[in-house]
Amino acid sequence: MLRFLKKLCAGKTTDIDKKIAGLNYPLEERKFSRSLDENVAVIKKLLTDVDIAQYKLIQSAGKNPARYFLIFFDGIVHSEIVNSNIIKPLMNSKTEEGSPKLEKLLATVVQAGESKIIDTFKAVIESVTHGDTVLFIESCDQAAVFNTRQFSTRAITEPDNEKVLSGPREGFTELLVQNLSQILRRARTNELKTKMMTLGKRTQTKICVCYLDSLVNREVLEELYRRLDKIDIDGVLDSNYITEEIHDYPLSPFRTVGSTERPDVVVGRLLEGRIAILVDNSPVALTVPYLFIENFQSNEDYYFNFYYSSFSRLLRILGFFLTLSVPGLYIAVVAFHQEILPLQLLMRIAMERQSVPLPAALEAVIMLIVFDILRETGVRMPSNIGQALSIVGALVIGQAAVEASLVAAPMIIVVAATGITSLLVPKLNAPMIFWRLFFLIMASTFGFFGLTIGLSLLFIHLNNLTSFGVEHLSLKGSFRLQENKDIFIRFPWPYMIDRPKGLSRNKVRQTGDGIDD
Amino acid sequence: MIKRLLICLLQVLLVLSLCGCWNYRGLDQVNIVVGIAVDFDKEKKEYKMSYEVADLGTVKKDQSIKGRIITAEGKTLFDAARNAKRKEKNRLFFGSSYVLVISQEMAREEGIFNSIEWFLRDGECRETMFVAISQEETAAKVLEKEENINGIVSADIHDIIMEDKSVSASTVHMPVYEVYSLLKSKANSLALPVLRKTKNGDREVTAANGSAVFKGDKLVGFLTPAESKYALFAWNKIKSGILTINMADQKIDDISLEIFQSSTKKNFRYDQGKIKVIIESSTDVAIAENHSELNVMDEQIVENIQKEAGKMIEENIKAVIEKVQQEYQADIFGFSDMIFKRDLKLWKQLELEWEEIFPDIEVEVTSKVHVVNSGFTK
Repeated sequence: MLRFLKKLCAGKTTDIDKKIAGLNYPLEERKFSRSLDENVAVIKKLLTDVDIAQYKLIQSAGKNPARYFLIFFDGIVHSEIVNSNIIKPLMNSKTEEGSPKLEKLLATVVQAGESKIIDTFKAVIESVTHGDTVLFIESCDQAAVFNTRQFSTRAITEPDNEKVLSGPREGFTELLVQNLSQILRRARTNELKTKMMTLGKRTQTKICVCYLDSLVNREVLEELYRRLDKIDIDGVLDSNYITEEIHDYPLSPFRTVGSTERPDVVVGRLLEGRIAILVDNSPVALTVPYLFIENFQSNEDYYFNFYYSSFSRLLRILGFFLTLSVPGLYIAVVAFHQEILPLQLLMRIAMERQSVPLPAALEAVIMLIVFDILRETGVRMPSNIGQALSIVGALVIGQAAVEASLVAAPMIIVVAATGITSLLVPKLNAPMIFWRLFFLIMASTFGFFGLTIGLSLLFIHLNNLTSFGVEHLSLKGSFRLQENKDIFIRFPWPYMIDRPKGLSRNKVRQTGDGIDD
Repeated sequence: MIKRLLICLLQVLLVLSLCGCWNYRGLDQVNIVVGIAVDFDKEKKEYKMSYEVADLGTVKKDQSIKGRIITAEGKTLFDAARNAKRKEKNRLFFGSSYVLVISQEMAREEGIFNSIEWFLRDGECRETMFVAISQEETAAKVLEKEENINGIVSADIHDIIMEDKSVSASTVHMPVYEVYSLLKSKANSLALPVLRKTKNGDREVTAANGSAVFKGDKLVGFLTPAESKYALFAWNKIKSGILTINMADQKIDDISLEIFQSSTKKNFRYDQGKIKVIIESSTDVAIAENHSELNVMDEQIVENIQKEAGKMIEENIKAVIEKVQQEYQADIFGFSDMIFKRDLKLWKQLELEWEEIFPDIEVEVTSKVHVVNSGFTK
């Protein structure tokens, strides 16, 4: 049976098929031949079972008609342009003796603004998958590509997780060129460099490295290119694929590559000498180097009054410490160091703990996991059943568990405080979940002593991190006020004379002539 | 890598041996002791302890927490504390104790050192709890309360004594670690607050009642609340309080002065084999109450008030010092300590005869009072 089928297939082979079959795989690497028929056959072979591919054979008018072959993908081309600007002029064109030159066709017949000449099958596939139309002509080993792309994208909206009260509301979309246009609108200078590259063997995703030429730290830029060149990945569906590939410490829970969905944030960071990486099909742009303090900074800090911004920034830092240590602190106090509580508070907590079955440490671990389950459910579930979650969360776990004396009320307060404060620093949520549990375990085995060891380990780890050679948590060296004017407190713009330390090769942001220091 | 990890682990383990006494101890496994009363049974030669603990089992969530008394006997204090566990589900927890009440009988006969040593040696006890002397027949009686009254007696006593020196200035406040170091030092100048039962409306409550004077660790006598106020002047411990003087009306005191600030300096002079102690106090007061019809805006009248008040303070300080010199022969104002610290040679010379010298030491008191505020009536 198998042999018969093979015979059947073999019987159908034509001359060209034989020619193709004789070639070495992969076909993509081949250059065009001068024969139109052979090129068409190769293309059809390459696009076997790709049913959205559209082929069109056209003959020109006149006595000596020339043959043209068009190929494009249905659905991602603008059919109006293909019909009236490419097919129609080609059909109506009168050809003289011999076959027409490709350059002449582009210059005189086809009405397309953006076109280029290619000579490999690989380029054909790249072009048609982008929505371009490729034109082959007879006895020519080159083909023309016309930009006929048309695909629908999302409108520009404000990103959900970086909302601001005042300030620009634009966010990136999935379309790289649109994102670039938003950046360009904010930095209209030829200093803004946009280097394109393609990553992902199968997805062929375009990424764009943006920086301001006179500000960028060359060493960081070179290091970035070196790391990008080393990437050998199948596909890039989101910028996080790149984040993990270029991370200084791939196993650290802390990110050393920044991410944002806002063009104003990207341009702000470019102006500090950072480099942005935009990835096609992802609304999230990456920025390097990324400092630890950036977790606490928000673009809104710069759009509001600086007193208010500085206060909120300090709150965020406080929130970070609270959300990390509150459960551990609570356990250390109620299980080891009861004497530090004022008597009234101690008696109240002790009273709540009288009728509860589980020890406080175990209770804390369970409640933290329950909180994380609720949080994860809130993200995953369809939004129209959200009410069910709040009922389960607030009533069953909060009220009923306390009333049934399964969980002590102070524990609920502790978990709620932990949860609320964790929302102050959403960028650090992922590492904090693990560190919080670690602190809790340390605190419930060694009390304050364990908590101190845990905090020390956290700082040692943070202090060891670097982002593209720049210290992630810059604690070393002497203190200079000018370098710290945008760390804990945001100084007003006229006073921020220098750019942040270590990021840019051009340190001076402004002359500072406007103020009397 | 493994080596580095092992080094880190080793360091952690080594440091572990440096920390004190600790263990996981759930709050549901402890009886929080708020106050402790020590009595001594002379026949059995054992301590009778009463612990006031927070009664958490029976109280409802919206009620205030009541105290409950646990009693235990033991050959030593620690023994008694452990014996209490025979009757109780939970262990006693001394980390939040406020008050240690010692019966006056025991303080007179056995001394108080035996009763406080354990609280400083044990790692789980609170060193800042203060020591008081009971004027009732037993110390336990002070911690008792009427059946239907909420609250914890020891916590109330704590607030009474702690706030006394900045409100009424009628007694001293002495945490157990200070008591210990005074007993161990040359000074021997110990005075402790005194507690007794009294009527407040129709309730029987515990109240502060002046201070107790010690010689060594043994109780020798008491000072009344009024005497205690001037003792506080001599100790330079007074923070606030009311002085009343008599200006126009000869029968009753008609002006109240509120103490804002006061400082007392002590010094001594050695002259021809005689010691003279010089006490100088300077006090800022405000006229807080005046029903004498005197015009307190008049400088001359204010001057008179200052003089009168100064004279009154001088006399009273002198009287209280004389009382402890003559009646108790207890050096609670630390004269010996002062000489020891300022003139060691002289102290060595006097040390052996100090007992005889002390009652006859001449004391010179000068008090300055300065009215800083006359108040204002609308």
